[in-house]
This record gives sequence, structure tokens and C-alpha cells, in this order.
Amino acid sequence: MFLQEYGEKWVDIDGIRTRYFEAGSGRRVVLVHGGTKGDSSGGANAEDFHLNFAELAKTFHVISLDRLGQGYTDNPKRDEDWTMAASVRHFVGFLKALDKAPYNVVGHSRGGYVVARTTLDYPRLIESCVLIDSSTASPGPGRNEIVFATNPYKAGTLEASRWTYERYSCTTQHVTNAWIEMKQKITELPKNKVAIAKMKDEGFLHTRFLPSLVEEKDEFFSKLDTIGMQRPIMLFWGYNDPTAPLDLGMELYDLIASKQPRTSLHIVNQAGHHSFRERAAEFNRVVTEFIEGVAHGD
Amino acid sequence: MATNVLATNVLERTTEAARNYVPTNTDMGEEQWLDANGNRTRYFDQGEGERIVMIHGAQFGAKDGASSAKTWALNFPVLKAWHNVIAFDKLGQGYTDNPKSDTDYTMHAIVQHAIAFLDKLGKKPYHLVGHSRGGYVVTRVSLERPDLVNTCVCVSSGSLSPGQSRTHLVFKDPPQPQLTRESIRWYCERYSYNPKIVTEDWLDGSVAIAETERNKIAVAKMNKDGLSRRQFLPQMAKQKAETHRWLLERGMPCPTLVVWGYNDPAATLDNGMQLIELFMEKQRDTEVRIFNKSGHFVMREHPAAFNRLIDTYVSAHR
Repeated sequence: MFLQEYGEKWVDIDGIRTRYFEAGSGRRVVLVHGGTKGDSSGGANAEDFHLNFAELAKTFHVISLDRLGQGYTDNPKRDEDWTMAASVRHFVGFLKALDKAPYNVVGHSRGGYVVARTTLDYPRLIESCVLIDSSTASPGPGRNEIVFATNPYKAGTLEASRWTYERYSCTTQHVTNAWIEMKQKITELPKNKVAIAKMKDEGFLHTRFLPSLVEEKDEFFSKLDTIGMQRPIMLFWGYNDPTAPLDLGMELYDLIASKQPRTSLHIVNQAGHHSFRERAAEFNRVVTEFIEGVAHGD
Repeated sequence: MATNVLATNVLERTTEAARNYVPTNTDMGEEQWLDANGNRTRYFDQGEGERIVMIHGAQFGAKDGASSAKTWALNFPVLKAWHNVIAFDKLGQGYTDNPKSDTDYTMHAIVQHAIAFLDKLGKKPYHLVGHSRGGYVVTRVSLERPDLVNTCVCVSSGSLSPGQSRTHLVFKDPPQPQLTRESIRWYCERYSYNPKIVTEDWLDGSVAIAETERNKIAVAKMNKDGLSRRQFLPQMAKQKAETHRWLLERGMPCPTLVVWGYNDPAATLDNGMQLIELFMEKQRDTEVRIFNKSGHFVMREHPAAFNRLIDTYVSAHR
């Protein structure tokens, strides 16, 4: 089921026990999921890429990890690390620990910010970068608060989770029982209860995570504007994404394309926020084409 | 698991890691000829595999240049290594005959000629790849004759897009006289993001066509005789509105890929984004690819990346 057949692997990144999967050989492709620890998207994890992993592993050495405090990876050790910056640091630590640079990094949503920031700050670790449906990496605001305002179910329940993922989507076939249940197991982990307590009850979401993200994004866009991305970039976007609308993707494209000549944008129809799941075959084809194109310098 | 039929094809391809998408020559092979609707038509037809038909832009009697199948000279010789690639001169362009009567100086006649060519060739279904006005043609052929089409790739088609054309602004005060090498060069450079892509080889082909008797007749008909303003443009506007309605009502009958240059000065991306709205409405399998640092001739500004895109797209839709 999902990525279990590849066997879970573990690596210690600055005291954080980190789960990942890997398979295949060739150029390194690292898949980075979205979501935020301790909120309704907290069930996001490495196995969200199960429709892509096997196909990409036929051509590449594919790696998918659980980000800091998400999936089965440990929560941050220190209170000041409940931030996106800490998630980026953890990811950079992971890439260095694996010692297989350069990497082709592929990030979805919040994970798109993680890979974009890493590409901007550590270009020598990176060969290319793919951003999927990421309002976090885009200049404007995402529409999550509006889209998810009316969830009729109790937070943290399976029903609430299914409602959320269906809302994210244009076509809902990919929102299977098995997928929701896999995420629910993570939601119910003791470690995730701690994360919810920190982010919600102690208020870290509003006192640390979000304020810090505003500053981090300011820095990110200022650097994007001055130095620019030093590696080829592809934006992959669902035409019907309700939370990270295509307009945001176009704005992000404008910013990146002004400095990085090799910037392309690929849009797929009838796909919401999880375009890599809703249009998995197209995604696998296009990412393969992009990374091979980068490798061959065309 | 997801449907991975498409991905499997990509993987077959990627095992041949040595595929070279960089054009090393511009040789499209022997000219061939066939009769399409009574018009002697020049075409090139090379390679084996998926049938890809490439349809160039502009129209008969144009004053900015003299397009032909050779527009694809950086793509055809590469893709023919793995596919059956076909490119023909549209009605009244290149070395194909002019329309037989004045009333056929229309987009309608251009589309009907393309359909007749594809029928006569007898290799359907085709992957159609059309650039600029050729993008209009491939879309219209797909809508009129779904049986002919496997997939449709529409590249930088201002002709098909909603919105006002910017060509009169971009191409104000061209060097005179028109249809000379220097005038054609000026247009091609302004169409491009990187003017260095305008090669002598490319211009040679256009200039030779511009000097043919056939082309001079078409230019006279369209301009001096006023067929462009009196007949061609009004008919095209009408047919374009109909095409937009068809896209919204029935939609494209096949998977469709729209390709655009981010820096296209004439067929702007803003217009292109409105066009994709029309494609997206009914056809689930619609994709869009935008190339940075590219003007109007995406396939000439980024030939290797363009060839890779077409190869993988077509291979995924065998």
C-alpha cells in the first residue's frame, strides 16, 4: 500500500528522526509534500506521492521524505522551530545528510516554498526545481481560509479530512478511503496531538508560524528579485486550483522568469490543488521531460 | 494506482537516453507533391512511427514574409528520427498553388485545403502541430473532422485568440520595399525574443518564395485588389467567432496542448490565456506550456526543448 513496499528509511537530521522512502537509480529527484504541522493539512506526508513515485523511479533515483513535524518525522525540538524556516533548514540538512547533490527538487504547496527557498539559498545542492500549486511560494494570498471556512465536521475527524481534500480537488477520484485513512493515522499520532497543542492551543500558529512566514516570504521575494533563481524552474499548476489559483502561479512565473531564462509553466486542466495526483500521468510525463531537458541542457 | 499508460511510454523513451533533440541540420528531405482539392501541394514526409503533421503560419499574400513548411526546419529533421513527420505548404503559400478562384482567398478555403491534404495522404489519425495561423488551422480541422486527429498542438496562435491583434503596433513602419530580404529579416527579428535566431538559411527560403510569380500574384490579389480587407479578414473574423462557440459548446475532440512564448510581442500571452479558457471549458485533456525568453517562433527560439516536448507528448498519446 502506498510507498510501504519500498520500506521506510530513517535518518537523523540534527536530532530529528526523519522518515523517507527511496527507489530507482539515476539523477536524484526529491519529492516534498505540502501541509503545515498541527493544522487540518497536517496529514500530508511522503506517501502523498504514491501515484508518482513508482513511475519516476523507473527513470530516476526518487526520494520522498516527511518534512519536519509532519508524517512520521519528529516534531521540532525547540519552540522557536515551529516555523517554515525551520522546515527549510531541516530539508537542507536532509539533502546534505544524503550527500547525493545535485538534486532535482519537486515541492507541492508549502513544500513548494521549501524547495524554492532551498534552490534560492543553496543553488549548489540543486540541479532543477519544480513547484506545484504553491500559494506559499507565490506573492499573493492563498484562498484556503475562504475555501475551508464552512467545514461542517469536527476538526481532526476522518470526515473533516475527507471534506477538506475533496474541497481542494476538481475531480475527487483520487480522494480514496485508503488515502484518507492513511492520513488519519498520522493525525491521530501522539506526536501530532502535541503539534496541534503547540500550534492551536499554545497559539504558535499565530504567534510564530504565520508572522515568521510573512518575514520569510519578504526575504524570499526580495532575493528572487535581486539574485533570482540560479537553476531551471518549472511551475506545474492545476487550472482549477481553488486555494492556489492559477493567477498566483502566473504572478510567481513573472517573478521567476524575469531572472531565470529557463523557466517554464505547465498547466493541466480539471485539476485542483493536488494536480500531481489528479493528473498523475501528465505530471509524471512532464516532470520526466523537464528533468531530462535540464540534464541535456536544452 | 493511477493510469500509468502514458508514463510507461515516456519511460520506454527515456531508456534511450541518447535521444538528441538539438537540431544539427535543417534538411527536410525530398520535396513531394500531391493534389489536394485540385491544388498542387508541396510537402515533406519522412520517418516512421506516429504521424505528426506540422502546419506553418501566416497566409497567402502576406507582406511580412513568405512562410512555408520550412518554418519547421529545426524540428522536422530531429523528430523524424522517431516519428513519421509530415509538413506541407498551405494553400497559396510556399510552393503550393494559389486558390483557384478569387472567392477562395479565405481561411475557409485554407482549412478545406488542409483537410483535403490530410485525406489524400491517407495516414489518419494525425498529431497536428500548428503555429500561428497554422494553430488556427489545426484547431479548426480538429473540430470539423475529429476522425483525422489524434492530438492537437496549437502554438502561439494569435489568429485563434480572443482579443485584438497587436501586429499593427509591433510592425509599424516596416522597411520598404516589403518582401525583400532586409524587410523579411526586420519582421522576423521583431517577432523574436532573440533576434539572433533569424538565420540566413531561414531567410533564404522566404526570399526565394517571395520572388516566385505565384507569390507575387497572391500579394497583388490580397493587397492591390483588396481581397484581404474586403473578403479574407471579415470571413476570418466570422469563422473565428464560430470556432470560439464550438470550443465552448462541443469542445475539442482530442487531447490538446497549447504552447506559447512568454515574450511574444504580437500574439501576447494575455490573449493566449483567454484562448486556453476556451480550450479548457470542454476538453478535459487540455494542457498548456509556456516558454520563457521566447517570442512568436517558439519552435525556433527553443528548438531542443520544443522537440522534446512534442516527442514526449506524442509518444504519450500513441
